[in-house]
Amino acid sequence: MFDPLGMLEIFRTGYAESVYARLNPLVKFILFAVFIILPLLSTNLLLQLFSMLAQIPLIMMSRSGRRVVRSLRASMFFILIIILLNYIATNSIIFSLSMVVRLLVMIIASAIFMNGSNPSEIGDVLSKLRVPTSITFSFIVALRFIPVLADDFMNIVASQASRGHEVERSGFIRRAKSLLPLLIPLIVIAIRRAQQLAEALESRCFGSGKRTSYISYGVSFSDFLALIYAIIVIIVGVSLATLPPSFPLLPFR
Amino acid sequence: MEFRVGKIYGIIGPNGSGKSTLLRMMNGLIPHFYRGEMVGRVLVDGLDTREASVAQLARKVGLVFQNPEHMFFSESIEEEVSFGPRSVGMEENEIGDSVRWSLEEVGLWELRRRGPWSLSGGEMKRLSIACVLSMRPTFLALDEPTIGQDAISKDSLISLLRNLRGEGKGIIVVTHDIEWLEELDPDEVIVLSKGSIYKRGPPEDIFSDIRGLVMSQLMPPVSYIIEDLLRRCLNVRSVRDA
Amino acid sequence: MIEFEGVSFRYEGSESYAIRDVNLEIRRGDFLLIAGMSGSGKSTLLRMMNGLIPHFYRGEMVGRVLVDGLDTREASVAQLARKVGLVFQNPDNQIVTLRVDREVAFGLENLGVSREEMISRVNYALSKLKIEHLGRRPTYELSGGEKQLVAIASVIAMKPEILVLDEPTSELDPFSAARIVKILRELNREGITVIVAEHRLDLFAPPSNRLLVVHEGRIKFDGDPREVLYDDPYPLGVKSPGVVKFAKTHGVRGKPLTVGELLRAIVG
Repeated sequence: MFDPLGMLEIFRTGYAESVYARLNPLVKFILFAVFIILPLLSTNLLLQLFSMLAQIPLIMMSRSGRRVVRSLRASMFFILIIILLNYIATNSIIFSLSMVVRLLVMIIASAIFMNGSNPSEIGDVLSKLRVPTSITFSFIVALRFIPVLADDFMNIVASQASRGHEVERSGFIRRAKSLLPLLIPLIVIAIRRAQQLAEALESRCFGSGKRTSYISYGVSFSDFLALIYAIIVIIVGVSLATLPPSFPLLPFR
Repeated sequence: MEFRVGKIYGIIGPNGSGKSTLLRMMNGLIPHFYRGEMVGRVLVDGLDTREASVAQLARKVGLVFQNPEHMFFSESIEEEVSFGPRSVGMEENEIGDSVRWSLEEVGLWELRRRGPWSLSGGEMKRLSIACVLSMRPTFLALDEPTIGQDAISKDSLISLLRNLRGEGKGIIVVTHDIEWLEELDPDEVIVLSKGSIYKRGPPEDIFSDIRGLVMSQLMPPVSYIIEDLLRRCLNVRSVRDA
Repeated sequence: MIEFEGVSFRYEGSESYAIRDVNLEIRRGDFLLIAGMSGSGKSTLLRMMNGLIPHFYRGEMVGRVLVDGLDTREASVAQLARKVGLVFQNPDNQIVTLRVDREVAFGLENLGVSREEMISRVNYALSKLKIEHLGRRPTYELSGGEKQLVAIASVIAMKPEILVLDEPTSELDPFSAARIVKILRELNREGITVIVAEHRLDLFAPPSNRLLVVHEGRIKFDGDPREVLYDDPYPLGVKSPGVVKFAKTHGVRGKPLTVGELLRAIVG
């Protein structure tokens, strides 16, 4: 009936061993960022198609093929909507296609990144990017406690079910009301966990000064190659983005 | 196997032996909430747990979980205890009596207007029992009721369970606190191991099988260990000889 | 090492004092067991040892607590945490990272320790707790007992002289609990002062050299565990272990606390 642990899948960075996975996390992040920003530089279909093709080596390196296909399948609905809406708005097939491919590129970039990184690495990247400690930390703690709170929730549902509680299916207000016996204990327990965690962290000197890092990531030859690849992609991409409007296959403004 | 009213059953076993699974099958959580493959059937007063709903079964088997805070969401204890009866469809006029009775059984009637979270650990545990008792089940099943409790609370739990047995309820307790179980003196002890029943019988029989318990990764009560060692080392029949 | 001088404390918003008139001196190398009913003030006492009270928990404090000469009202929790490591009851609510070795290193990162030093201390702590094999495991895969061991390791890595534990085994099964007692015994033998608040007297009384009974905020007994456990501490909310009960029922002399001691007393 309930599968809150299924929600975990979104955050499960299904870390698969691969050439990509062994890259320095900062490099992975740069690659990720490149393929998010590049498609946004222009609505040029060539640019979008190039971006997508340029990701193929990455998909192979990170063994994300299956995950990419899954993500695309899941986004099918949105893809169709976007094609439709854009076509209605601009009457241009090319433009609509361009928008769709742009979305696909971003989805693929996320799939690659998620498949090749684990949450701790993402946390490390965030702190290296000078994101404030409180934000980076909240991110890691949240990931750490999602399975814990998911378990708590399962137990709450079981406890309340053993008291005859059932979630109402009809009527918005009735449904909301029947969720209270599940949500209130969850909130109370979450707060209690947070409170106890806070005193434990305090007792280990959290926030008392400059932090050093236990994990260090090396830079290898593959990282250099990856960065060079990124630069080449950027150069080609930018030139495609700045093509004169008379070039074929460009949408009409 | 069978559980009858008017008796206290203790279920022991190492981690992963299936103790919690067994409990969850008694009130229908398995198979309704926990999916899987079930072979055989569980009958509660004739009701097949595969067909009857958890709400129906809750009127027969009250399952009390380890953490009382998984239950509480009301403003007052009185309200909290009335949630169960109301959810299972008890008659309105019955609910009041039932709430009063269960709170008095656990000794919390005086505190009925207080909020559930204002209680001490031992009181919360008793409140969680009251919340289930108020549905007037014939059986009460408790999952590790002594965790985190102090000595006084554990002793009062023993008297409470004995009272309830005296009133005709069937009590089933899953616990790893062997010393407490010895003091509870159940009518029958069931030892689970790797998902099946290793042994069942009166406490004296189970607890004195030192070797069997240790091999099932369980620690026998201290008094039994001592008697066994004395018997074997000194060939004495009772400690008085020594 | 830790001195309580006429200490009372009342939590903000509470009318009664959680602890009253506590005078206590904890010596280096002690294995101090603190017993008492829930709500008797044990937890409050422990939190005053590393400064959580009064810095993290507001309230009214009378008297003073000195840790190696530092007054806990002035020194910060961070300063005190270098001397006094605190381990809590719930295994999950102390672990904040996703991997065991990172968790053990966490406190050291906060202290700004260098990477080389951190790596050596992490290995030290993991080996002391005998959990080297768990080093690279994700934290959410661990059992309750393993999580507690990780929690203790992450405090030990900070090399405090005093280890304080608040009911560390109350949520664990007997085997995990026994494992923790064994580790604490070893740490104590190596010179770390251990202070534990616990209900499981059968496990914790034997290794302890001193027992404190707290009742309604006051210290009602401070001394040799055998004395009070053989003197019916039940009115104070403390129940003696099974061995004591057996020895008393059968008139065994010598006040044994373990089965081994009991047998020796009988056999002579």
